Amino acid sequence: MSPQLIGWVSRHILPHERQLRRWLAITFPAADVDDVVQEAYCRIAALDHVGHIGDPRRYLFRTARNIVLAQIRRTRVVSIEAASGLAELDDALPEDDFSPERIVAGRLALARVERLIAALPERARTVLRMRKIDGLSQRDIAQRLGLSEEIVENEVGRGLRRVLDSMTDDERAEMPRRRGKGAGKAKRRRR
Amino acid sequence: MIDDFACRWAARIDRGLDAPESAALQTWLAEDGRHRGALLRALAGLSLLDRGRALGGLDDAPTEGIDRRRLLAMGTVGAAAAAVAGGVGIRLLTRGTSITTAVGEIRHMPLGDGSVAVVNSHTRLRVRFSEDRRDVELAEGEAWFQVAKNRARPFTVAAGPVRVQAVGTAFDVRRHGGASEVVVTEGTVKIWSVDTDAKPIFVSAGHRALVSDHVGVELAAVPPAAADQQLAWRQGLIVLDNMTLAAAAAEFNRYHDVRLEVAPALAGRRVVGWFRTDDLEGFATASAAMVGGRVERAPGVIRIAE
Repeated sequence: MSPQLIGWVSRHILPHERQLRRWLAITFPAADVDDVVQEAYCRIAALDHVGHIGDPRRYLFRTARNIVLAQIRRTRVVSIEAASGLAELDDALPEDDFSPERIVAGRLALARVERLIAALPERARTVLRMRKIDGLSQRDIAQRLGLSEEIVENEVGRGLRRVLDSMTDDERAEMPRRRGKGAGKAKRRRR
Repeated sequence: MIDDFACRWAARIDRGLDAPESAALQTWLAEDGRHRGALLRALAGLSLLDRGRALGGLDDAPTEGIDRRRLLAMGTVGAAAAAVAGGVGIRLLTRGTSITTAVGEIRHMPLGDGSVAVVNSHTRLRVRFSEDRRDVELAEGEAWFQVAKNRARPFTVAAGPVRVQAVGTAFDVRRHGGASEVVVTEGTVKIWSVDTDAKPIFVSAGHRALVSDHVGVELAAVPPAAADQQLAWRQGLIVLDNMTLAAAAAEFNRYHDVRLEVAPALAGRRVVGWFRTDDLEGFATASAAMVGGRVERAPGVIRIAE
């Protein structure tokens, strides 16, 4: 995995994962979103170069659609729900997806990362800030803070997990699908 | 679960793998085809935690890991923290006190009534408190005020003809180019100009007002994250969020006597990153690497050239 590919994914793919997940969940209710997204990254990891991809976001959505299609074919049971998404794919993708939106997505991602780091427990926050702001290596951070390198590595790994989760998963935050629960409560109350 | 492992591996790669670990990583990648994709995603996420990035450029040249090592030598961590935290306690008397900060200096000033001022680089202000008023005159520069609540003693900042008044709130005033910019971080302030008959406006937390000396008041909403970034200087930080390299250099030049110049061809490139205000060298090196330029030095000038 070349630094070029990693940089490209962080700039052009990761900022759209949240939207991809939302779109998949709405368009293909039967699909396992985590599974499809994982497979999409897998295919991207196999790319030798990415220079020919003019519109990475569209590429990501198309790749995900093809994965869903392949899964549907494998199961050989095409439910109406699953099939209905296929025709809509092209409509669901905005036509013009050049720099402004891409930059906005990048900015939102950055703002989220910053807010998230600010909200971390003190040690994790200090470690990530020293890495991010001062550009220190894990070893230097460990020395300065008097921590073991294992602890610093753990903080980086866990911090990374939280940053990725918050960037790409908005189900809990933005889609209040609590209708089922609410109805349950009402029933209980009636009883 | 895969993502947990992938993040752990990314953190280990960030630290540097030894030979047995490299072998173990290969084994993990071979176990399941999905592992490679998950690792790519984790490494891409990790690069969001890097020091600086160029945005939306034509290049996909490697910009990762540019300057982490060399910065060590500069010891910026402790120095900047000390410069910011080392507030000077001053009991302000009713006669008035002048505060002047040098280029690059950021000062935390308790104002004696429970209020605090954080005074940015290259700023002149005068504080005059009396029984029934608290007046601050901002002649030049920028300061953020956290105002202790006291309805009987209004707190007013004068910046040119512009007046900003608060009862108990926090806000920033910056004087530049014949205008005053106010960012409110808590509560509400009242803003007016002694040069016009226009009615005062009220600006609440999360909003910014730009008051031009001769034209009047313009209001703009500032999203909370943006306000935090704009006021990052209080922690001795500059946050570049999709800023052009030219604007970023201008921001750094507020804090340094050495001038940072950018070649016209690179001036419009956009950069993202967090930097210490006192780390001009680090910024020059990192941003030159981000946009594919190089750093040139002359007496009193650092230049990012093509």
